[in-house]
Amino acid sequence: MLATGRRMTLNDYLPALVMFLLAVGFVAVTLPLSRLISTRGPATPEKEAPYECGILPEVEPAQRFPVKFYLVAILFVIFDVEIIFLFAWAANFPELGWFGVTTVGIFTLFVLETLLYVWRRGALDWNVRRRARRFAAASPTPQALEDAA
Amino acid sequence: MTLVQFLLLSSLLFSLGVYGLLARRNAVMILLSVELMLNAVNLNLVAFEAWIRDAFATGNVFAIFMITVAAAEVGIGLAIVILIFRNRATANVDDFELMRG
Amino acid sequence: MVETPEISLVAILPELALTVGAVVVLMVAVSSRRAATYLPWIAGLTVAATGAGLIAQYNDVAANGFSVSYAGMIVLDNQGIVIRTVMLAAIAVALLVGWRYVTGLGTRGGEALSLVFLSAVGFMLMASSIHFMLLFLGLEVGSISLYVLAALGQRAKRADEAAMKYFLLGSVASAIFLYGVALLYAGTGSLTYLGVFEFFSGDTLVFSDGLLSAGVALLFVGLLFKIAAAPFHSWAPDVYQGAPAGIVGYMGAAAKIGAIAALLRFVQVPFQSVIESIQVPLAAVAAFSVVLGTLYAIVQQDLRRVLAYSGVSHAGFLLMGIATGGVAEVQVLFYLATYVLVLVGAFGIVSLLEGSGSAGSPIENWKGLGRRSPFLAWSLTVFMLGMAGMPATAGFIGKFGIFTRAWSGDLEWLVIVGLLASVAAFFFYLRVVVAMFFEDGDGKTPKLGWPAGIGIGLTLVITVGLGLYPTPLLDVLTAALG
Repeated sequence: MLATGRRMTLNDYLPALVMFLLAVGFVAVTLPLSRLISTRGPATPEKEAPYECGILPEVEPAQRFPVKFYLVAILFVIFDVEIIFLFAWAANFPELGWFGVTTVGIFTLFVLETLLYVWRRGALDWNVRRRARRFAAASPTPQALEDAA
Repeated sequence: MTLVQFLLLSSLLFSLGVYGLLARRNAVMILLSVELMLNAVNLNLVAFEAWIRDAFATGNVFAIFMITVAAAEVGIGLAIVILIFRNRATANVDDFELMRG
Repeated sequence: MVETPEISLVAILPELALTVGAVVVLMVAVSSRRAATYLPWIAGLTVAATGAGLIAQYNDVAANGFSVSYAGMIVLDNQGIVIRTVMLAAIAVALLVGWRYVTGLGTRGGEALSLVFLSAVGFMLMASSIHFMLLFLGLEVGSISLYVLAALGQRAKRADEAAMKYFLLGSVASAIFLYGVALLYAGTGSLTYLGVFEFFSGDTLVFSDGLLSAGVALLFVGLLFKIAAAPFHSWAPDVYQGAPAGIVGYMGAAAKIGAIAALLRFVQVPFQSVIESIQVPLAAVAAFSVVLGTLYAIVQQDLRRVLAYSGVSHAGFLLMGIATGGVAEVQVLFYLATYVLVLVGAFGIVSLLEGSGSAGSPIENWKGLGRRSPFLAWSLTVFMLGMAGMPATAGFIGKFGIFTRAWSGDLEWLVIVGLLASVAAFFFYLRVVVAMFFEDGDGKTPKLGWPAGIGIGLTLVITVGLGLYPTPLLDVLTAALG
């Protein structure tokens, strides 16, 4: 059985606190710094417009995201969720030892295999037209299905 | 906080999911309702584990697996919705009635 | 340092072989332009390796008895081996009769093959699981693979509709199943089969707790949905009609094998001591499925819907065997094995006539097939008679076993319902036979390739062979399950 029920003390949260302070500190330093070193002219109506030249936009931009981003989004969600298994392992890393490393290694291999597959299929291609062409080439037309039948 | 409060919240979420499942006609909204139901179960499992004081952390581990499975299910579900939308330009489940009998 | 859970490779050998096969298929499919030429070899090797794994498991059980590994999650015993063998046989026959579907998908064929293997892994895990978490994971791995298979490469409207219905209702069933698991966890404090068993056998007030009985009920509903038992069958006719013909037989068979395996274990271990409480609801569902499946099948105009509703009634017969409880499950397993093989074989013939990616198969299309293709017409006749339970087919032996078992288990009324339904069922099973041989029509003439021929021939041999001479297999099963 895996070890469970280890009580967390305040000391265990110290690394998290350090991380939090680092993150806040980074933002607190860089934001004023960029304001300090960048030049900033007076705000004119042209500058505030979405486009400085060309036709003035008359309607609000579409609120819905194009469906072409679905594939990338859902791949992100799935690979993102895989990480939670690594969290459970990382929290008990010393106790699990080589057993944990091996198990997580096998798991990671499967995730990498999925990534390789997704990549080779062209699903990570940002050029949506090219991706659509590759997919069309990879999937049969209804006619091909009829012929095979 | 007592267990009853968690149970109330989770059964409320589950019921909302069931309501959405029955009342919504858009496939994406139905998908969302199913997710709501799954998350109600997640909340239940985690609350029960804290209440039982399970030495094996079964509830937590189960919840983690369920999150993963739910993500995979959403991926498949959205893919099927998009397939349908491309075929017939609607995601309304009332239009799915080619087969009857 | 924590105590590592005991790892037993032999306990998961078949699943391991199938997983490796699925991974290799995917990698080959995306890395080689000539992937299609390798697919038959990989498929054959994977099936062979899985078979070898099963033999290794059988030897292990024969030498050491049953064993539990992976922190009390997986059991290796003869019942699990038998169910996995049935699964492997279903894969082998489904790939033979459906190979045209795999090749017809072009470069997508590798994906279909890998999904078939992965779904088998999930449902096989359901057979060896003795933990509700692993049961859930197996159920989802199998079901999600089937959802994709239903939608793969399809641009036909009826196919995407079938996939959508299967997916939506399937995920609702999963949610219901999970809610049941959560309530069971709260009630018993454990999610291992053994822990639940100990809880129930220690408790004198059986099912006193409302929450707990609701949980157990929801748990069963989730699985009854997967085997398409009435009143949880609404997805089955549409999916059987709409999903690609080349694979839908396997889809129906695989889900039934996995869920029946889980239900068998349910009445054997976790809910064994409360079998009296769940027997009546289970028997009621069984009777309802048998009656409703038979009545609806009679009025269908499409052979695939007929097969779907006959599947509902077969789920009822299987439940009839499960509701009696007990340990020796020879009859249920025999029935399951013969039914799923005949189902896969029958859909193989449907896909030969209608095309492997097709949806629907109206009875008119079958008219006159007896003249155009006698072999296929006679094969389908045998399969239909086998499903109906005609003597001299395996279906009769299976039905007879189930009826005897239920009769001795004090479920006489259920047996009478089943007998009446079986007689009525001949009507719809024979209707397509009548259409093939006694009515004229000029539909398509199917082309029979050698893989499909072998697959259908094998199923024929098994159906008739086990019908005429079932004792060796029954003896082996009885000895193994004792």
